[in-house]
Amino acid sequence: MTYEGKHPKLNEVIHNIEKVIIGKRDIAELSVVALLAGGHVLLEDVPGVGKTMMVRALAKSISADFKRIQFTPDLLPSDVTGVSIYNPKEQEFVFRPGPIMGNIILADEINRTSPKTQSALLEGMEEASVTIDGVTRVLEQPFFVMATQNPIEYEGTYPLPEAQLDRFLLKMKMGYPDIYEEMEVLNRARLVPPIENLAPVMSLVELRGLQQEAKSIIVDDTIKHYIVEMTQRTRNHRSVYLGASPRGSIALMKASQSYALLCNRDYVLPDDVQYLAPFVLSHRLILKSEAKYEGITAEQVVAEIIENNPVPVKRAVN
Amino acid sequence: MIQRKSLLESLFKVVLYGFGGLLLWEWLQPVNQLTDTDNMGMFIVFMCLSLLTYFLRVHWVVRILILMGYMTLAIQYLYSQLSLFDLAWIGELMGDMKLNISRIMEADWMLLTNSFRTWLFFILIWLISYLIHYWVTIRRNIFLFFLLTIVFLAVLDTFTPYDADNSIIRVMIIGLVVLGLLAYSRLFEHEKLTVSMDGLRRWLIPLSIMVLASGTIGFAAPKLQPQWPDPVPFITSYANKSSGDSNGAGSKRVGYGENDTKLGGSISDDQTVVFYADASTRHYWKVENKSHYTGKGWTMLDNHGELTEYDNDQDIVNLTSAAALPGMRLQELKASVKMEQFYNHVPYPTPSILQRVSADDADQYMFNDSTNLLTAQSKSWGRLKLTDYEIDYFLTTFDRNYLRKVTSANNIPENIMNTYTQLPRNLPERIRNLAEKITSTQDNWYDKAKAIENHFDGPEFVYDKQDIPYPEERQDYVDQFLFETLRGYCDNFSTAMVVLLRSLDIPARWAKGYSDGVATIKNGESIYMITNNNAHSWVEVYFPEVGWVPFEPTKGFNNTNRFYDASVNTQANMNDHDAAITTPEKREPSQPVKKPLEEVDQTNQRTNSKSVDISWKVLLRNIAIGLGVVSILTFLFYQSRRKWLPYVFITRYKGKNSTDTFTNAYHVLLKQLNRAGVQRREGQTLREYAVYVDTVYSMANNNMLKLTEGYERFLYRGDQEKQVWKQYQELWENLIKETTS
Repeated sequence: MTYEGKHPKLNEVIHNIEKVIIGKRDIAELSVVALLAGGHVLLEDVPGVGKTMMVRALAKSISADFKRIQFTPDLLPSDVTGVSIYNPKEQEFVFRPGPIMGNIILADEINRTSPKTQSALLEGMEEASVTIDGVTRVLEQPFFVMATQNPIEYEGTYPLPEAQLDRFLLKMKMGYPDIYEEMEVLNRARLVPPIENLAPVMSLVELRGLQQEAKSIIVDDTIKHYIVEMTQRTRNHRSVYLGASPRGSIALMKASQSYALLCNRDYVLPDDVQYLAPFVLSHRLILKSEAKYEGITAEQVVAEIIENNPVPVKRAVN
Repeated sequence: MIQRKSLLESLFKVVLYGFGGLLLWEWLQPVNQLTDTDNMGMFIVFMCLSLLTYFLRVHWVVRILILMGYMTLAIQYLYSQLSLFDLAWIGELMGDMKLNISRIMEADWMLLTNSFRTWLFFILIWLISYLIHYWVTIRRNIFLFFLLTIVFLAVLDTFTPYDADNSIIRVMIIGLVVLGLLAYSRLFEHEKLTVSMDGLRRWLIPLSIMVLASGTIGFAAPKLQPQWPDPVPFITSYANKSSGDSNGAGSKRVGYGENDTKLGGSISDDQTVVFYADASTRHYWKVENKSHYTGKGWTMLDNHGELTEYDNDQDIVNLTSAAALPGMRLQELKASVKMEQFYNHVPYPTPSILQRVSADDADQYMFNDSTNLLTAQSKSWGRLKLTDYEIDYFLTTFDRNYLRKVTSANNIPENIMNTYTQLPRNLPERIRNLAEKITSTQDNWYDKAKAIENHFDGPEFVYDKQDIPYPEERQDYVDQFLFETLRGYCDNFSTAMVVLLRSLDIPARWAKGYSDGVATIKNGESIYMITNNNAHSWVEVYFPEVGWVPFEPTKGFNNTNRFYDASVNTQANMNDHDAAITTPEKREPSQPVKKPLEEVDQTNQRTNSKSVDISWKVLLRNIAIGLGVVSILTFLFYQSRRKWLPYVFITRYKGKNSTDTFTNAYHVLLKQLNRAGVQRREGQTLREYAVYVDTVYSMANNNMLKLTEGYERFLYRGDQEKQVWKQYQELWENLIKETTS
């Protein structure tokens, strides 16, 4: 929903990702937005639609350290965070860092593991540090988790509690490619996987710079009001049991700032907020059971709120 | 594939134009039947041709050439005696045009030639076919035309002989189908889909089922009988009575006949012009009156009467308009009459006192004191049928209060009582009874006459010229009308009133002549056209000292106000008037002659209470009309504010640059767009809306988006408003101008 050009550097990253993932520009953009905002992404989708490829491409494009954790029911917290092993030669415990000690982490099927293990990851996501054997280790920045969850299998899963879902900045669905896109996927799969040839287009330093820049994007009071109004409406909506928290408002603002930066603009528009609200807010709502029975989804609720929330068209008189 | 689609689309259009044409055709059908319009085929071909040019989107120049060419050739074919190749007809045509245009300038509507009227009719069809094109292609909604067609046919079916039963069913079906198809096309336009066979089929099946079902139900469902058997007589009589206008559907018999011995039977219209009268006001024209009622009609037993002779141009009476005659007011007037049908008799204004008659070829006039017939003579030729003559006369109005003083036949010469209260011996008793019943509450002659006059206004009486029977062998003409048929025309009403009055021993006579005719304006003057349809009869009642006073019993007629009320006069007039009554010898001819115009004013002031009411009503009506016009204009002005308001705002914001100018200007634009039908939803961002606006107005350089970006910078970024406004003012002006289109 924007008509300006994109930020040239970020556009390069997205373009790079597009070389690998076909027809998912919006997902790539949103991932970049989350990355810039220092948030994390929850991808809810079936296996095989390119989630891993997408994260790998992102990681490769910014020459970041990519780690992948395949969550299983028997995975332990130390398998995520790392473990101190006694080294008989040195006669001391040596810390072997786990996969969380990376820049970009794919947490695959996060709902397959026990809450204990999940919380190890979630702590890292929130605090940007992990505590192992009493030692708090700060994670390297940028630290970006892209977790996936399989929506169709419920047997033997530990669904993330709604409160935990709040930790994710964005939740999105990848979706299947359309017929032509999928044909193109087939074409490309015949040759060398394109991911192998992907060259980094941005350094971590540059990324950190952009993250700083995103924080300085102007959010006018009218927009802040608009954002708060929107989250408040989720709290008062008739179908919603529990609305978005102030953390939701912050998330919406930060995401909007990053999106404005991506759009090469130094101020946030209601358009940005509207575009991001479904991804930021949907997973933060708990619907009433009767609403669920009626088949109402959180996405529908958010869409309705966006539709009815008056866009500020005048400066507030103060 | 694409070709097939566009073929389908044009086929679809053809069908729509075809149906539109069919609706128009339904308009032309009655024209053929109800008017003297012939050669309908010509017009239908023209309609098709016109629709075709619109359908094919022929360039307008070409269209004008084609249609004008067709019109010219058609008129040449229909009206010109000359051959097509004898090009003189073009000159003839041009001459005809010129003549008609000058007649239009002079508002001589009746004089337009047939060829010119045909030409206008062509133009009308052209306009309507453009409208069909507009409704079908641009508005994609033909409901208005559909509704108008139904209303038109319903009105014709009700008020004219045209039988629109089948027409209405046809129109209903055609109309519903067209509406359905247009709804489909609107939907597709809106959703930006292309017309496809599949979609069309899916639309058409339910549409035809619905149309068929509603048609069948409408056709088969039981219907109430008309609640109002035939509204026409009621409406026409009501309209005529209230407007005082007796022309058109009103009158009478096939011209003026002299034999009235056997009244009754139907009569038919005859538009033949009898004479044109150049008079400054409308009034009846009298020819004669008859006094002897036979039970079947009127005769003059004593056919001779006293003849008084006057010379051409000689003063008959020695009066001025200011003369105070008892119980009446005079208005000095002059009329010139141009006869078109020639009779021995000379019609003259009534009620009036004749002052002078002048004609070029007449030497003498004879006035029959008994029959009041005026004839002209020439010394060399004997009896004359006048062609042109002028009459000076005093138009009379009567003082109601003065007339009310008459309650009995005292002071009335016996011969008058004998002649004018005559009734056939075998007059049914129930007529007398009726007369007494009607007038039981009245004590004076005037109110009795008025009561009888008003009796005929009752809803049981119907004015009709058709299917009026003659009375049976032993039946009285008036009795038949009053108690059996209750329908008839002027002769029935006037004869009945005379008989009713006479049964009360009030002297009355039966007057004949013409009603006031149709007024047209020529060179700023009223010309009344009196046709055979205006032939009329009415009643005159004798009042002592005043003389014969006309009454108008016929339903739908109104002999323009002939009465006034002295009681509402100004004091001065009152005195004047009283003086006139008490001292008739004070009539002084030497009193200064007032101008007729002033006289008119005075008469107006002195009008009776009823006419005071009427003038109040007129005033109120005028105020209401004025207010109506003003409010309609205001409404239209307000409705069209989208067109002019932007310019007001442009001027307002021209030199302005304060802190809230941009905000205000931008919001004015939003409102204006809203009025133009480009609405913004509350939850729609300005940017989305701007893109929408740019699409709607197909703005090549996304002006709205540019302006909105500027506004956003101010609104969401905190830029200085003044600076931004300076930058965007011109853009804003262009945009708001654009919205007026």
